[in-house]
Amino acid sequence: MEKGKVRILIAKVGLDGHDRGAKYIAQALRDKGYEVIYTGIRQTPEDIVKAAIQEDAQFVGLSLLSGAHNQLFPKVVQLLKEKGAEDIVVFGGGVIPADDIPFLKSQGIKEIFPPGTTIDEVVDFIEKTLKDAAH
Amino acid sequence: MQLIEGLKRRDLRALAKAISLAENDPLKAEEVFGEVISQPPMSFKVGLTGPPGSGKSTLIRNIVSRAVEENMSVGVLAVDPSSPFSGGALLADRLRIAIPNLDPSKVFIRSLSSRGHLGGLSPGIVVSVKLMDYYGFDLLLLETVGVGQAEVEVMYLADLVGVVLVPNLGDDIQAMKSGLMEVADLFVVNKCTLQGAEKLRLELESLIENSPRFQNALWKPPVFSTDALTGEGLEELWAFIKNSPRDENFLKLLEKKRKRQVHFQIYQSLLNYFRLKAEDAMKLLSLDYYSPTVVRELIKKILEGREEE
Repeated sequence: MEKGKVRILIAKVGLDGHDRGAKYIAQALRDKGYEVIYTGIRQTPEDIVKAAIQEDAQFVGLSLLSGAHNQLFPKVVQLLKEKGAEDIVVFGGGVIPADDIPFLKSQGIKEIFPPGTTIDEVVDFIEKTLKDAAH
Repeated sequence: MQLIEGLKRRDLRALAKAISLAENDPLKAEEVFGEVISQPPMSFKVGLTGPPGSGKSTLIRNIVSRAVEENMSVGVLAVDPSSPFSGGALLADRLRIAIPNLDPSKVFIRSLSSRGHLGGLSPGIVVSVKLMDYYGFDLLLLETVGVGQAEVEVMYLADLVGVVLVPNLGDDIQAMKSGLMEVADLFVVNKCTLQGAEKLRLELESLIENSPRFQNALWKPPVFSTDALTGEGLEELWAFIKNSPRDENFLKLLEKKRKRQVHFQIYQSLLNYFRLKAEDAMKLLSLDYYSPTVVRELIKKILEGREEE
């Protein structure tokens, strides 16, 4: 797949208005040549899944700093599956304790990027995932 | 083909994927969706254009919510600019347009990148609009990138074009210039509570009244004052949009417009073909100077390449 035509939906899920990180990652991914759909704050998992399907996103990046990630991240994955869109890759970021990461991964969240992640790490993840999917 | 079957079943994911193909490779999409693209237009298409930040997305949100209240289905294609540096884009119209908890079978919103195209829309827009049309929405809304004076392609795709303006962008001479101001079937003075909004409305009305173009014209663009955030003036704007397809004069105008639309569809398709060829030809180029001879040689190569196919 050509770069620049990879579409990534970035969303703030749940009751959390702190969008600095989400806006940062959205712009950084744009600068790396991706098409980023930014849906803004306070999105329900249902609205995020609806948007991901309509936008034909290959990735959904969820940002959360409120502590509800163990409920809301898996909910997005589950709803995607219900809609037959489990091929859309979900990743997450925000203030997420290291202890929660194994659980989130077991729920189908492909990667978690805690504070301090560099943009290159996110790009490597995206490119590696695309490469694996192509094989 | 699987996607066409999906479209016929009115599968939303198939529509979304079909649009991706149209945007990624318009020429391929024309081949794949030939059957769909040849269908006559069904949906009523309204285009909104205007400068960045003039409130196009927020107006669209208002229109969508009113249309849904009246049990209409609505499709939205909203274009934002691509980066000239990375080719990426930040598509954020959806953020303002999307209304939570709406039935996805009633409202379909798709954000598009302009992908370097300069007319205010995208290289694949003709096919994307056709796909949305085929899927079937009562109302199809098109939002251009934030435009300046010269990006007028929306006039070749929309049945009704609204030019959205805000106060204090310039005097009445600016409003007399060619381009954007000429393509309006209606004007919206948005942010109408700001100082200067009333002056702008009067200038537009006087422009329309005194312009030679509109002497004995079938259609004189009305001017609506709105505030998309509070919803002021939206009732009138929506009533007008909704009733246009039943207006006798508008229907006469539409007949001309539909011919222009077909013309543009073919022209855009040819442009896409030659743009690809031009991009390929540029790859052959290793010179670091510009001259008409170089250009002529490239054109020769493009045309030769075409004959080889």
